[in-house]
Amino acid sequence: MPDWISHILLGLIIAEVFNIRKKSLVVLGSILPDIILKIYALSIIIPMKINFLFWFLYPLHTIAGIVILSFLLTIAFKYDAKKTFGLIFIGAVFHILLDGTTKFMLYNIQGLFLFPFSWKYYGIGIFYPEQYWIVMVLLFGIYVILRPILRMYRRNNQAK
Amino acid sequence: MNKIFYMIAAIALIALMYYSYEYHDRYYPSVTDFLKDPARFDGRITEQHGPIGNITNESFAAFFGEDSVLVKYSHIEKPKYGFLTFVGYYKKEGYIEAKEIRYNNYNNGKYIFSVVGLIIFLFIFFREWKITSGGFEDA
Repeated sequence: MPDWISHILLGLIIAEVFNIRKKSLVVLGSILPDIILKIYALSIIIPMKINFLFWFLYPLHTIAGIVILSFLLTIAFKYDAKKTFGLIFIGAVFHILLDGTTKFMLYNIQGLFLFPFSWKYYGIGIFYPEQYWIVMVLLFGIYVILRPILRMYRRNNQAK
Repeated sequence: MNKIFYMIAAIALIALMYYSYEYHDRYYPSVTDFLKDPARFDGRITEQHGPIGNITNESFAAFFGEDSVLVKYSHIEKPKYGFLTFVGYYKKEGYIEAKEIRYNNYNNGKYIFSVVGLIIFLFIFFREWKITSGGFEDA
């Protein structure tokens, strides 16, 4: 899976492309599927019941789970509920799609896109987990190039 | 929005979580599931990844939180700052017969970058929002 800098960069790219004012909501969505689920990663340093944690929290890393979680989060913001939901949700969907680029040997267990209707995994598997830095460099490059181009384009359009 | 919708959503989410935990072993049995009843999963193929130890010429131990399992595979090395991914078959005797492995060396750097990512996120988030008693409000 890509690291959080990569996920945040993708969220920022989406926010730039669609000219979203509340970028932080897309960015929140871009790490939302991992925020709770990745508690299990602490098992590297603290022995814990990883099986229970992973599978109980797993739905928070699926499309169905993030629909509900994004909706629940609207209660925490004094802002247009539909916009809050939409922006968090779009960020989270792109998080799951970016995870789908991770290459595994047999199956990508984090790619159960149709859960709970299907347990089949999906993904395009391009980068092995340890190649996360390639994703980060690529997304950073895209962001650095795209941001000024889009801003200049919008400024020119406003001037006309 | 009516509070009843939030309650329904919360219940639906808990139901999804319960379903995931209760039924995952039919599709993706974990090492913990396997260790509870090795005979049930005999011959099932699996992919696992994590830290390893107790390396000998013929086998190693793979760790999954509180659980560990013996994996039979020859001439293994300890991954460098990362973990090991392996594909193999669950055996009713209580071990895994690995047929393919991959070293995910230097993968742990991801966690450091993710901590940096969390700081970046907090910076971006609190530039636009402030905490009030009623929730997050436009900063």
